[in-house]
Formats: sequence, structure tokens, C-alpha cells
Amino acid sequence: MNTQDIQSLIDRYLAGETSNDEERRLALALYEAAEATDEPLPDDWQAVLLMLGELTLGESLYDDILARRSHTLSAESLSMQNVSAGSTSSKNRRLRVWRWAAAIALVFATSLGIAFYQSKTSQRTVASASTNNGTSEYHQWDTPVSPVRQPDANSHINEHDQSHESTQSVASGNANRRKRKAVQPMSKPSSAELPAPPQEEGAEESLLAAAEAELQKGDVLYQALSPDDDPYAAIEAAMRDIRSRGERVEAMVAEITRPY
Amino acid sequence: MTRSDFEHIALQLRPLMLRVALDFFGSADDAEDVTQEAQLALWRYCERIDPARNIKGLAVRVTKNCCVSWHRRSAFIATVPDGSPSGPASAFSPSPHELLEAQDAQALLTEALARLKPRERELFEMRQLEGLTLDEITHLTDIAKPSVKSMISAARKKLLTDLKQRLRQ
Repeated sequence: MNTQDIQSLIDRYLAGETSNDEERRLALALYEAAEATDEPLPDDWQAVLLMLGELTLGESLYDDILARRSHTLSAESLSMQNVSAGSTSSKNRRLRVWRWAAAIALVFATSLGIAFYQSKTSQRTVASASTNNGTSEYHQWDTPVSPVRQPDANSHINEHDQSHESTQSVASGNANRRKRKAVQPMSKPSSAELPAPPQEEGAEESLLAAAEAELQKGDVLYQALSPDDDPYAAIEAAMRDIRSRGERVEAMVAEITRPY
Repeated sequence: MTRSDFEHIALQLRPLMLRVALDFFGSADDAEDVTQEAQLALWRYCERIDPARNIKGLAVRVTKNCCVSWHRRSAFIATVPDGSPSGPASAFSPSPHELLEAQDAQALLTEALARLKPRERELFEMRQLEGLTLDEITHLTDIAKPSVKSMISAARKKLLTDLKQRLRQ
């Protein structure tokens, strides 16, 4: 509070317009002004200080000391809060670092475990393959489990029917073997591979016999096309043979179809 | 107010004064000592106290004044090295010159107050000693607030003129 403020407060004090708080502030300002300099205060100020009295001055000093003390306490508590907050933040930072380190270690350990398991699995597969030499056990290690391998009724029927057909006749044995080779054990049987009804077995046998005969013709042609002979002569001989066969067949047909 | 009347009131004032001192020191022992000192000061002053007035405000102000005096004394003891031959309490005591100046100033104020009109002196003491506000003085004296304000202002100006003349002499 400067001199002008003090003087204006003194004027208001003399006019009876000051409050208790303003009078305490005026007493404190006059006391501090007297303490600040060795020279005596002006007469007006000394008289006002006397009029305000020891009680007002003591009350103002009391409030001033309490205010300073609370300010100091609040500053100390603020610094303590800052210190505690700093330690807390460093703790949180350390905790975050440890969390990241733990997560990285967990991922590393998991990847190591997976790699170890895969290496062990491959070793067991190789060992099994070497001991069983490609048996069904070898296929069990490598064959993935898929819904296609699920057993169903059609596959049983197909296998049972194929075994039945293989014992029926010697003529149809080769064809049946070829069919078994053509059928994939892993694939689902199609409608063409399903067993034929019992009433069509005779027609199927005749068809198989015709096919066998055609194959024998092919064998003849193949034998005729051996590299040692002249290919043109062989072809002509084969054509002649076929032609003669056709003539014989025509004669047979004419003999059969001749009206009685 | 007689001293026997004050002894009855002092028991009622004691918790209030003790709380003021405890707020300042935070120590029950110091607060007890300061309360006793403040009650002693009031006991010396009690014959000038109007029993119809509210003495609580005056008791609080006196207690605060004693707290400050005690605090100054304690601060001085803390700064004086141990084994001082004069002792801390005696070292804190004002010098005879300062004591004489304080007594002269108090005597000047008392004489100036004595030269005021009784109503002006009463209102001035209610405002300065008891710390009552204008509204409280208006309520206690049944005098209009502007009148209270003008009488207090007149009393202050008279005191200022009187004290200035005395201080120049």
C-alpha cells in the first residue's frame, strides 16, 4: 500500500466511512510504514495510529500472521503434492514399461513354443515315415482331417459292391480292376459310380465283353504298328482283316435276317 | 462492571478466547497461557467496561493482541542464542525510552478522549475498542446510522486535531 492509498484511507477513516477490515488494513500499513523507516511518521499518521489503538493493530497483525502462515502451508502442501505426483508418475511410467516388457516376453515365449512344437511334429512325421515305409500310418500323419473323410453309407455300399463284382467273372475282372483304380478313395462317389440295379447286370456284362473285344482289336492294331514292319503294309493288312470281318458279319446278318 | 461480575463472565468467555488462541498457535499449552494473559488484561480493564455491552468482541480483540505479543516474544526467543545473560523475556521487553513513549501516547489519547462529548466518546469507544460496526452501534444505541456516522467522524477529527497539537509540543 503506497502513500496515496494510505492517505485516502485516512481521509475515509476521518469521514467515518471505513469498515472494520479497512481500519485493520490501515493500522497495519501505518505500522509497517513506521517499521520501514527510522524517521518518524507525519503527525497525521501518528495521530491516526494512536486513534486506531493497540487492539486494532494487534488484530490486524494477528490476521496478517495467520494469512502468511496459511500461504506458507499451502505452498508447502503444493510442493508436497508436486513431489508425490512426480513419484506417482514415475511409478506409473515404470509400471507401463514393465507391462510392455512382460507382453513382449509372453509373445516371444509363445512363438518359441510354437516353433518347438512344429519341429517336434516334423521329426515324428519323418520318423514314422521311415519306419512304416509309406503305410497307412504314414498317411495318417500327413492326411489332414477334412469333412470329406467322414464315413458315409454310400462309400460302404460302393466298396461292398466292388468286392462282389470282382468275384463274379474272370472276363469282367480286368474292367473292374480298372474301375477300382479310377475311383478315388478320398472323393465322394458320384452317381455314375453308384452300383447298378440288379436287373441291368446282364447288359453291363455284354457291354464289358464288347469293350474287351475292342481292346483286343486295338492290341492287334498295336501289334501291326510295330516298328519292325512296314506301317503302310500293316495298315492295309489290318484294313483287309477288318473288311473281311465285316463281310463275314454281313453274311451272318444276312443269314440271320433271311426270311424263312 | 465490577471485578466480581467479570469473574462470572470470564468463565463464559474462556472457551471463546481459548479457541482464538488455539487457532493461532495450534498448541494447547500456548493457547492456555495466552488466554490467561488476555483475561488478566480484561480484568484490569473491566471497571471501564459497560456491563450492558457485548463484551465478546472486546475479549476476542484482546486475545488476538495477546497472541501477537506472545508470538513476537517467541520469535525473539528463537533468535536469541542460548545462555544469554539477560534472558529472552527481558531482552524482548521494550526499552525504557520506548516504554515512556508508549505511556505518553496512551496518556495523550486518554486526555483527548476526555475532552470529547460523552456521546461522541461512547460511540468512538464502541467503534474502536469493541470493534462494532455502524449497524450494530445503531441497533445498540437506537441512533440513526447517518447520525452515528457523523458523530464518529466528528470525534475522530477532534481527536486528530488535539493529538497533532500535543505531538508537536
